[in-house]
Amino acid sequence: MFLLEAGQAALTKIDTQYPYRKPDFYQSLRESQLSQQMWWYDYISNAYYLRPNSVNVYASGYAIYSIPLLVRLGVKEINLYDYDKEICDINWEISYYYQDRAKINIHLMDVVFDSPWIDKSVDLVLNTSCEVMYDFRKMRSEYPKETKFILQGTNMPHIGNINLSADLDSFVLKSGLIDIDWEQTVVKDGYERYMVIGS
Amino acid sequence: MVNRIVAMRWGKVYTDEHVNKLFDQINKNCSVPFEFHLFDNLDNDRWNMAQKKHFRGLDDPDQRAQGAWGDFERDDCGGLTHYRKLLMFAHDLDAYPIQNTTKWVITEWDPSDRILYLDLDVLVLKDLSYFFDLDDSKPWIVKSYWFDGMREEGEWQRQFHLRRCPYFNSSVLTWKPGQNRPIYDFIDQHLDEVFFTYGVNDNFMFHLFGPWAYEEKRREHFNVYPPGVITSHQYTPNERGIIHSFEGMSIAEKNEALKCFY
Repeated sequence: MFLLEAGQAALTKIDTQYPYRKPDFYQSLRESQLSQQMWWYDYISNAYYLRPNSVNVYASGYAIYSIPLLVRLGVKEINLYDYDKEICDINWEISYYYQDRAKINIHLMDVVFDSPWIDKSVDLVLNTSCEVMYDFRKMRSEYPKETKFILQGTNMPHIGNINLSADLDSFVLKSGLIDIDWEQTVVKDGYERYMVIGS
Repeated sequence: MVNRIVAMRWGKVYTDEHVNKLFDQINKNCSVPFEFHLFDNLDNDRWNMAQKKHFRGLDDPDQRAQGAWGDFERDDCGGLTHYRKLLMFAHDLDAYPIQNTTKWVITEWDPSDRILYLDLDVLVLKDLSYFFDLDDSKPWIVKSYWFDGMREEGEWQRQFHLRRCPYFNSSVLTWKPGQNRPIYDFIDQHLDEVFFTYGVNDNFMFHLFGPWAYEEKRREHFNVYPPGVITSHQYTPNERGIIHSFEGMSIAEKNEALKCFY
């Protein structure tokens, strides 16, 4: 599932062009990052009704986990959005090794301020970083009613986290989702992480 | 075509003494004719309400000093500190009462005029005519070269997604009337999102009007002054550009540093 060549290509890109990004690339490989991705992956794997063909991934970060997981789920079109140009460049290297299995597009965009230019015709929107951006409800309102959303957020103060939720209810309220399929809180190191799925 | 040198003041931190000191320095260091203007307590009710609504910190939303502010660091507090600077971009062509050194006048600046903005706490050390000779096809802004590999490689790139280390600094700006109106209009159209997301106006401009902006008309909106034109006391205290800036320093630190110069 996780192609070694993709990881090697990302590291080669970093070594040759962006050596100062190595620490934060390694951070993205941590167990906590993998478990955030596995959380939504496990849900979709078991949700008979959810078989998205196309997915928008907001604030994708290094997509070392999300690309192979979505490909394994049979997603045929993956759109990654991030406003960090170097992360986008590194994601191009990762995506190259999966392009025979899915069409992967990488967009250097701010999902909040460049929202008018985002393709809204996808089946699913995945955002595991709601805590770093404005309330999702406005972005949700721009999609068709039937689009599914998988959103994660947290109450953990951390550099760059500008949108903390006090609890799951407040996170769901900020999401703008009305028909909730599933919601859950997990606690780790004294902080809560939330996930809500719905439309 | 008139060369206009402008400053801005709001609240109670900067007094007439600060304004007069800056004017004296300008007068001694500008070899071309100019008019000096002070935007005094310029504000916008909608923007002010947006700051109050979205600021997540504990103290004064217009304080720029770093440090923890309850659960959030300053850059993560929202509130767009020093947003009033960006209001100038809506008032450089519109009729607005402004104060020159002797009287109130109502004026509409001509699109061919050139505007040089200076923070009240900068030091003018050399001839300001340099700024009026720059190519005026785009506005100009300070580049924080100390974030561009001077201190640490890749510092601004690594911290871009954390909204830190913007390599724009608005302590000195050059533009023609109307050139920066798109910045004002963008904020006005995205008021809640901007004031929620950005704690600092320089971070906002760097993200939405800088090298990585998505929309072509916003990307690379500014030219940046070459190295050495504006120097920073906090990062390069021994260098002396045309303008020496005290950005990022607290009022007490600035006053202490200024003793070396006066």
